[in-house]
Amino acid sequence: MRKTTGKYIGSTLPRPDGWEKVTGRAMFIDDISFPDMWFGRTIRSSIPSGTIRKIEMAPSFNWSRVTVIRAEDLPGPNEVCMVENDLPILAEEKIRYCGEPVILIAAPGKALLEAAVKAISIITAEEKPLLTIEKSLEGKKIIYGKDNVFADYAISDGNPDMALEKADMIIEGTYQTGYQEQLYLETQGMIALPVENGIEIIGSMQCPYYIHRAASHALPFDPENIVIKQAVTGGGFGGKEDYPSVIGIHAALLAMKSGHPVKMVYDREEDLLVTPKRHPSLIRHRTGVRKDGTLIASHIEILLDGGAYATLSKVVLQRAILHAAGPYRIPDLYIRGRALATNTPPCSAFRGFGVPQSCFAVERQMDHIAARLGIDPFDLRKKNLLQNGNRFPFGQEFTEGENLDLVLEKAVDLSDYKKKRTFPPKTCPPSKKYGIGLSLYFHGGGFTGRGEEKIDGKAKVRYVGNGLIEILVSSVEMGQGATVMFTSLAAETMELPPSMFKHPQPDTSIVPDSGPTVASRTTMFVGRIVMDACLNLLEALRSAVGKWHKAENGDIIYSKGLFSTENGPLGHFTEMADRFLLEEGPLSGFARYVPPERMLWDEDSFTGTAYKSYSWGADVAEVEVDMNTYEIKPVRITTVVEIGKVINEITALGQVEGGKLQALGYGYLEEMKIRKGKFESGHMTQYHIPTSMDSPDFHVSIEEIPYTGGPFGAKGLGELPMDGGAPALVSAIENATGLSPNQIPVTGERLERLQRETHNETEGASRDEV
Amino acid sequence: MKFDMTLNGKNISIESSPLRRLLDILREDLGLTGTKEGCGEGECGACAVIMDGMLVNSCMVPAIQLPGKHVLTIEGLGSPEEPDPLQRAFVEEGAVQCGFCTPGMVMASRFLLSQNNKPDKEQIRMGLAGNLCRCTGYERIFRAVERAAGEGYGETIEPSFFLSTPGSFELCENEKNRIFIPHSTEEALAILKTHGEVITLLAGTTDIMVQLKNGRKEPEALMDISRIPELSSISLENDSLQIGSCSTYSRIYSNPVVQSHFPALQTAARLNGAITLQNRATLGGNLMTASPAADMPPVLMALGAKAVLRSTSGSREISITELWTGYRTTVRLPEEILVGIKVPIPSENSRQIFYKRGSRSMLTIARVSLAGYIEIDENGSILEPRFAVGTMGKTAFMLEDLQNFLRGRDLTEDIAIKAGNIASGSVNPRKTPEYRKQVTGNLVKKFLLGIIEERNQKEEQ
Repeated sequence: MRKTTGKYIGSTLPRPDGWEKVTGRAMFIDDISFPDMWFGRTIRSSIPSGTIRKIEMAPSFNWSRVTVIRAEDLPGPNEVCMVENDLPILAEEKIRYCGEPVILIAAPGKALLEAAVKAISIITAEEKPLLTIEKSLEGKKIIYGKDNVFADYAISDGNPDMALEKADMIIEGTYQTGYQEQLYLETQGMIALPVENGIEIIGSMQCPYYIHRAASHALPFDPENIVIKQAVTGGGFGGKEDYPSVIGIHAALLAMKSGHPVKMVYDREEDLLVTPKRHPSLIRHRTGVRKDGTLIASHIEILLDGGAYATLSKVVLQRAILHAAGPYRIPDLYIRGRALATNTPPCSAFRGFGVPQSCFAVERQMDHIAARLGIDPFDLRKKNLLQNGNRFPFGQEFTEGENLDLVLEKAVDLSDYKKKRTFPPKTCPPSKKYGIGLSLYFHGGGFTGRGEEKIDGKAKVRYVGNGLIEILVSSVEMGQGATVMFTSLAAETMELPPSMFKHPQPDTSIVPDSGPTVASRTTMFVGRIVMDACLNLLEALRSAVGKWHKAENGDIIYSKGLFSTENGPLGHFTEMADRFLLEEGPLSGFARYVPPERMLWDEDSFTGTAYKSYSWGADVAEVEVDMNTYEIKPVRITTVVEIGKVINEITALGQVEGGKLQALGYGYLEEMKIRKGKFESGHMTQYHIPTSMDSPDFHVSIEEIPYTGGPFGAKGLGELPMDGGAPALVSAIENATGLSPNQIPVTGERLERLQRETHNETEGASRDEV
Repeated sequence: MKFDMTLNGKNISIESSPLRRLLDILREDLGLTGTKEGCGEGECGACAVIMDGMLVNSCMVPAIQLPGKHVLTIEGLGSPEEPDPLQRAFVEEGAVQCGFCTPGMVMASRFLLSQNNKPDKEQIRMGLAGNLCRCTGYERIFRAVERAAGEGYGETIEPSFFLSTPGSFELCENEKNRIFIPHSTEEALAILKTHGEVITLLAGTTDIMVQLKNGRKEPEALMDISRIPELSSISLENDSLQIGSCSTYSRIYSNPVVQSHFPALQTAARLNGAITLQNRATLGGNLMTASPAADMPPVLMALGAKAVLRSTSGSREISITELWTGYRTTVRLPEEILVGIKVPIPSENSRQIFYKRGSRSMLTIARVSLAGYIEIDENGSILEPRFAVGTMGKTAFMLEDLQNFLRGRDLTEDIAIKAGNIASGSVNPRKTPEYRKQVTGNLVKKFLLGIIEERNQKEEQ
């Protein structure tokens, strides 16, 4: 077990939210009902591109019993505001993707709702859709802006073209990644309640204030009369970052028009078919190397399929670009990235946020370079690691050489990589092929660039009496462990038992805006702000205690929950806080984000401090591949991450293991099929995530090199495990089979095809030689 | 309909339409929202509860099958203030993250420990394979189950051998002559004689509940045949194993004769869905829904099984290969019931195999399924080769060319390789044909080479 810092930091304190969840008492959105509540549904386009000609509503149906809303009925702008305002609440005339919301319906009962849905049909005229990144680039059909480009950024360092000419060898690779569905076990859902001159929206979400902002923009109410409350949330993984704004507004509109509370909970099929997924990518690398394996220049081009609307694509792309060169030293380099529009359901946030794509590409490229030069992939990486004093491609100084080297070396040691690479373990049955591969990765914590400054996170803690302190932030618990993290940090800071702290589900009428629950920022940034708020509360109390006891502030000592002076104890925190409530009024502490000094980012030139801190990781994956059936089985995964400081050990391990299994699923199993612009995997029988039989044995080591800016030294963790799993797995598949997949997921079908093509190529080559 | 059942130890009366899901009865009618809906198609296990001692997905159980049943939900275990030891282990070991899969996962763990006090890690993996978790990577869940097992949790669960009690019920006016729950085959056949044309038979309901969710119209009339003891029996008679059509997969693979004589059948039953489904889905259902991707048809074809159909006018036995007439159609007449199947006990010089390749280890629909059976004489000559494939056409079918090629030949490596090529050439699936042809051939080859290797090892000894 880990040595704790103080009493609780690094401990295995059980999560406070666990007890209600494990006994079935936790109230998720679909568990909540209100008197006279109606049920809402979205009717959607069934074509990817075209225009709405007519809405036919069967005259035989009694429409007075239900509420129907179309675009022309909207009380405000037809915009769901996110990064851009291009996403309509309901399609007006133009259809831009299959599954686009057109009509909203609410009814007092589910059966009546079903009947109403069946009595409406949308008559459309279909146009030829724009379905691929390549076609979007071609620009023959324009569906966004003047060139289908949501965002286009480039980083340039040195003179890569000239440097490439001097290389001993130029190695090229093209890498493709597919859609990935978050598949939170709880589908998306919201309930909206009409209140006087306003609306209340309750639901499954990551970012209460995003919904608040979007609802304030779309609905004709004063922002203070719009209240957003989080219900217990059954997983998010990014999928509940922006999309809840859409459902929240939909439910609100139906509630306003019907005058009833309206519940909209997506069925799994609807959730799978229309909510945003991870962006598919097409990434090209051209790397100039010396014979000894030194990387000297690189040219990287990233294309992301953003789907029909802008969503968060721009920000996802930024992160993809900033991580695209990997943790390697490449003196001359050029990276360009574009996010493109297609007539497909919009992609958006998913744990990793662009990094899993660019990490897959760069790690595979490193393996190819290693293979071409006859160097072990480990040695190639080791040789080219960023060194302290080097700069990232975007100019930020690199200072964590020790951390980076540590994760790589330790993962290789723990897994016995070097030995197994030469002598496969005998545990692999003879009918299967064994392989081992590694990947190295990193993740910038918090928002890109000046995002944290823009968000300006705030937190409050307040004493509510009865020995209870509430931590008021808009950061949500969605399974990742925010609650146990906040309560541990607060307990440690205030030297009080964790049981005295509550982290209630955010309610925007009560909690300040600590920012969205995204970007691995909650521990590192919000945790720090909460600690400051705790200190401010203590300070307020200390000053009152001083006043009561006619002492100077400095004479009052607070330690281990006890106020005292040199002359002896004055009373326990609770006693003093209760007195404060009686005599002085509300007792709380407030704090806001304090930007670190000398950290500048220039978005126009894409240079400067891209992230305040980085977390580091290395994976070694071991697989067994059955060449009769092309079944891939990850049998063991060794992961070493360096995250500054562990706040709660079992939660941190759970984040690593859970994230890693998602990353492995991304690599070989999870496939969202799309045909003519329509997603085809609308059931859990079709979109497969790993079961307990598919999960490998995990060997996880979490390293701590404290980061001065984070609470007790902590950095971000949430997304890091998602970044490296797929490339390590594919590297292991290559090691096992001799085949070299450049596209994920590596399904059995893809592996068989690759074997056939490789075989044909070799046959062709040997014929040529004859 | 109105009926009584036992919920978390208490007798309760329920009024419900016959096809209403147990899940909805719990959540909407009784306000027990601890049981979650993650998919409504029996795939995720979030709605798992324990019914008559067996783990089932409550989205797969219609009200018509509930009279007299004992159901245990998450609310029947501990409370936040006083969690039971399994629940405590879940929280303290970090097995709970978002909490949505948790109630089902706890029920699955409890069921596992009720069947097996001290499961090893592989058995835990298997026991939880029908319950998806997206947060944890499962590792912490395994630890929680291991800890509860170590604390003796399994021993505290009273073994529950609930017989399907008749369970009294009362039908509404408009349900009479439409809803039938017979308790003997004769009773069922008599009903079918009059209403056969309009009746839909229910047994494990793992198929129809999915179809209903996805828009299938409610059938005009229903007959639940899951309460007929004869249809659920498995017995050895005259050198053949008789398996009643309502035998569930878990009963099939835990049957000692199946385990000793029919490894291929055991594998097929084990690989069908996961435990929640295996406790519900029946042999008859798998055969009579006549899906080309079903696991049982190829294995029973290769084993030379016969199907027994019965009506009030008598019984007929047909080769299982004649059971299907096309995509999702069978030879069953409206007044008939598939009583069961008879599988001859294989000869001692035989070998059998069932292979299934989906996209993941468990809980997957076959992309390739292949069953093989061969008898070889002492000289290594093949007497009786039988091979069948699923998923490759409108119905499962036998690989005649392959059988003709192998019959009478000596089994050698060269023959095994040729056999693989013939098998590849004998199938022509519509989707991803190259891959599935290749895998089919590989599997035939693998089966035959395995037999040769076994023989060589014996000779060496």
